[in-house]
Amino acid sequence: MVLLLFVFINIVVAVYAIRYKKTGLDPLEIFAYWCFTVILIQNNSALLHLNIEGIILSERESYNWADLLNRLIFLPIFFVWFINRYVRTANRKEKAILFFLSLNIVVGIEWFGDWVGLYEHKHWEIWWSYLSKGTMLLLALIFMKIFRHYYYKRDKANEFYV
Amino acid sequence: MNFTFDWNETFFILSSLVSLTIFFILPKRFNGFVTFFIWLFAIVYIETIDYTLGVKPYDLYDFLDGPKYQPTTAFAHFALYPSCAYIFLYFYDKWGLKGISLLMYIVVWTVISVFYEWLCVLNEVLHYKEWKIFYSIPTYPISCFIMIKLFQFIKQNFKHSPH
Repeated sequence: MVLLLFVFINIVVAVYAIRYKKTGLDPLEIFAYWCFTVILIQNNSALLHLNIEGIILSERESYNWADLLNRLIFLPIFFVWFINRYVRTANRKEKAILFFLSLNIVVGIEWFGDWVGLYEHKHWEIWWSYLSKGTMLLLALIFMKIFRHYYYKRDKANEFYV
Repeated sequence: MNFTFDWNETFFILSSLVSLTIFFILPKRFNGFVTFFIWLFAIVYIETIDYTLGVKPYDLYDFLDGPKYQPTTAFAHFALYPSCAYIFLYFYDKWGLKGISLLMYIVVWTVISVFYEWLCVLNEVLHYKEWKIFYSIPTYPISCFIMIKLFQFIKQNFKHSPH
């Protein structure tokens, strides 16, 4: 049942991402942000689960697949959406509001996973979730800034082949 | 988080350095961004597999000194596998492989990969729990196919990029 719920959520998010064309991002740019975010999410999860033991993943197979779907689709697409909105927002105040809104949503998703049983937080303070997810959002923004700086600076000499 | 540093870590790091050396000595062929995209995706791919099959409920294998995520494993994830993926795609593209020649190329890579995996088992880099080496045989051609599809995706979208 929980797996079905997350399959449904992930399909809805994936379909929305494919059909939602109003993005200022290039397909390869989206691909780079997706990859970077998956790497962030998986390393964060692996360290917390295997080394720090701050989260204990469920040993139920279906829950594990649901968590995998979230790591590969739901959360990375949310991060790409966040970056896209951030790029399209000119006003600093609106950017700050977007950041804090997104931070709360990402932390909410994390604790929703705990609530339905995908994993369990152990000896965990909620502000650690804000700290880790806030750091991930900031790293995603730093990556976006550096990536765009070089990617859009390419000149005509920069073809596929050198 | 007590990690030892002995032969298995050394073997894993040396393998990564060999692969990185080949990557660096190959004449530059692709735009830096193409290499970067291949690199990023290879990390995503290998981490997803290891973090799915190597932890409970499957827990099919461990790397190095046990189930913890270790710095040497991270180094291999970020250096060994992406550089191998790059070398695979480099010659795939350079030789313009199709049909039987592509099939043979994938077979050769599968043999090399399975042999390297066996060396990893001998050198205690990889500890099988529920896994067997012959389970790995079909995974390499699938990985090759996924990397080729990724390469085609990058090539197609690179042409259409508005720069």
